[in-house]
Amino acid sequence: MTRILAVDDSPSMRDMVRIALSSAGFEVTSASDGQEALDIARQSGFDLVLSDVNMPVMDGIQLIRALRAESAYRHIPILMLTTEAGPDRKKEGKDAGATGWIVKPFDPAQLVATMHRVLR
Amino acid sequence: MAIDLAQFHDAFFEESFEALDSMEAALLKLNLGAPEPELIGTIFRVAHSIKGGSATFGFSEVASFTHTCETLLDELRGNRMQVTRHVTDLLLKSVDVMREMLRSVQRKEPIDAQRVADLQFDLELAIAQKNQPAAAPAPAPVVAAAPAPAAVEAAKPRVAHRWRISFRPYPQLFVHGNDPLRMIRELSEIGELSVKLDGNALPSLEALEPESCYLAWDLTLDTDAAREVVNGVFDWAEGDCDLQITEEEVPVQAAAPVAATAAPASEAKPSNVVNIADAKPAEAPKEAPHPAAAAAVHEGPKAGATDGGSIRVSTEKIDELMNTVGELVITQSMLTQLGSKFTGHAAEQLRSGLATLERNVRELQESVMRVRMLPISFVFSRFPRMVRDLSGRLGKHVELKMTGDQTELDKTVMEKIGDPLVHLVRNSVDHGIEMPDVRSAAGKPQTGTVFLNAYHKGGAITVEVGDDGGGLNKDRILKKARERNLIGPNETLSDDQIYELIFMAGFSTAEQTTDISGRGVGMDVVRRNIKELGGTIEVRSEYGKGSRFIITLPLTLAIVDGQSVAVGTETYIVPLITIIESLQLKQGMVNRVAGSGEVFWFRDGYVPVVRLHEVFGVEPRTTQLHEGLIMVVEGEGRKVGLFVDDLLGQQQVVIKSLETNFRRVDGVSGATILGDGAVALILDVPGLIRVATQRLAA
Repeated sequence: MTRILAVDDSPSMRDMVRIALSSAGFEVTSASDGQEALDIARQSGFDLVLSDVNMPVMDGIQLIRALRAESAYRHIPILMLTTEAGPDRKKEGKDAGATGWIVKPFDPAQLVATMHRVLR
Repeated sequence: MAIDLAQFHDAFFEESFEALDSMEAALLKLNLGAPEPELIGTIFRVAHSIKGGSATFGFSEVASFTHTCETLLDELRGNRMQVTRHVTDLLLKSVDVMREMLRSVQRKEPIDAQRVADLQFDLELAIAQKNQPAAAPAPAPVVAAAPAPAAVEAAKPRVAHRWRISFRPYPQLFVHGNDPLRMIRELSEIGELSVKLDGNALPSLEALEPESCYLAWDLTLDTDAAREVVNGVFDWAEGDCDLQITEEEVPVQAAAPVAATAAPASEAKPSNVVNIADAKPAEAPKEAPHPAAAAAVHEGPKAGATDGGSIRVSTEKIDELMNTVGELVITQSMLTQLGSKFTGHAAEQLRSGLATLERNVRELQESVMRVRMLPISFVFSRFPRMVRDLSGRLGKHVELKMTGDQTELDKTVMEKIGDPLVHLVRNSVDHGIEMPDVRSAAGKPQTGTVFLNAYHKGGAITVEVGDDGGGLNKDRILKKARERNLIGPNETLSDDQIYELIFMAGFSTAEQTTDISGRGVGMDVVRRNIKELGGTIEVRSEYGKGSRFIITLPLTLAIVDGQSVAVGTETYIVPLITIIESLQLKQGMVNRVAGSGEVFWFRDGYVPVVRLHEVFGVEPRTTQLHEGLIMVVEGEGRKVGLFVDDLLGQQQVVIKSLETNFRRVDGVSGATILGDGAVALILDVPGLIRVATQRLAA
């Protein structure tokens, strides 16, 4: 089963992402900030990481950078969940190593479709 | 796939209200001169999350307003705008408006659109007026969709365009997790795709870097999809490739039914070449780099409730649990009593088992109690804002000092203590603290201090509200009390008795009532509310120096530490907190006073005797005062000696409401079930004193 690590500091968003993805047949693990996500990621493997950008403790950009420094996460798709559609933010994410982004707001169907875009 | 987003709404509202509280707190802490980037980061994140959530869950009005808020905050975060008093005022108002909007949405009520629009306008104005003129506020909320492959799925290859795509990834394409195969697959889903591989750059096997991309492709796509759909396939690869998309004339057949789907006029134009890697920077001029932004997102762990592993549980569930534990305590004490009657070799084991049970039950009870306890900061947190707003309106300088805000108390007590505290703090700011010039004239610092303090004392929590203002004016209180016939014209009162007058119904000493502190419906209601919680309030004051209100509350409403007393065959529970002393009167110590009945000298004054058997109409073991015991109790500043047959023991009892199970009885606050299954009434000492006084007067 495809394993996804979903990172968001908002519990409602986290729930929504988790439920949307798990009902689409993915195995989802949630984390509430970058640091927690990194700790979890180091302990087990994931096929895709989906992370919010603005978070306390460690933000999404730092998380992506840290994950890309881990050999297990060099090539897997890492997507950012962002409300900021601005080119600056996207560039910042890309520079950090993000594969792509999903712009909030999105609905569960869009989310799942995007997952299928990068996963088989 | 149908997922009902409504199931996330409650969680969203709850987290948003919490987030708004922390946004408000951060705003109040914000230093106007040198705003702390961490605080601005916190504030920004709140607006940001609410915007994202409300947009996702379909609350577009909230999303739109919050977006404007966020835009302003982004300016602050990027140091492109000064944090002024005006700006923080606007943001505080925004917190109110967001709260209001969310509350309206939650209750499915209409939003006060005018208020929202007004404030939104003010925010936009503030953004427009910042130091640099440029950059008009982003007009619309972000409704940009995700790279919409959903739209793509349905598209049948109904040829309207022929796109020639030259896709030449840079070697690092893979590094970001992008896969050319994915993009080619996606293209093939939106139309008829022919693929030509360009492998010219492929090195020899020895020189090949496995992590680099050496391949390039020339693709031809026949589709009705517009240019941005095709572009969208590659959007994540932006900057990692050279991409050219050219439109080519479609040969013969399909030229007719074009543009039915997405493509507006501009896309239907003849071919033009767009290199997205170049195009992006041109359409959005780079803003000045913001050094603060990076720092702002670093943040220490969130304080308080969200820290560590925690779960949300509804209060009802905890109440149920509490109730069950209460029943368990009763069952356990029944068993303990029963166990003491057993004899024989197994009895010892039984009793030791019962002792363990008792210990475990007590621990369980304490644990459940702790679950219900919250730091009083939940109540205190509203005061910084309130004091700030009030003092601003009154033209006073007031500093609020809060201590002990981590002191814990039961949630139900907390919910009920909020209003009385609000009233007291308001009074302190409005009536207590003087105007700056008055303070200067009196040789005090211009800025007055209102303080809030909370601490545990015995089995109770004490909350103090005080100020260094003018203090209570005894002469004025007396004058007013006489005017209102609250006291006789020649009655002389001690200081404490004078201060007590302010708690009487219909008393207000303010020269003129204001819309801030109400019109004399004040302190009596405060006292009543506190009394209903089983607490007390008293006041200390020194004229010219300030006042201090001291509130004592039980830590919980669910159990009470009580002394059980016997009157005839009945058992009553007297809350320990009210008991001063128990003593045995000797013959001759009791005087009969006209109008007051029996009194005896206790410490520094005469105390009336209240015969409990008379109040409750039960048959006592004895009616002779020297044969029973006197328990001196205090309520609302008055002392009485309760005459009882005997003292039984101290115990924690679980309070059962009489009102729910029977009806309200004067002088009784509730009931409990004793170990032997009998019901004992818990005395409401202030109420009992009232009842007894009325009886004497009658």
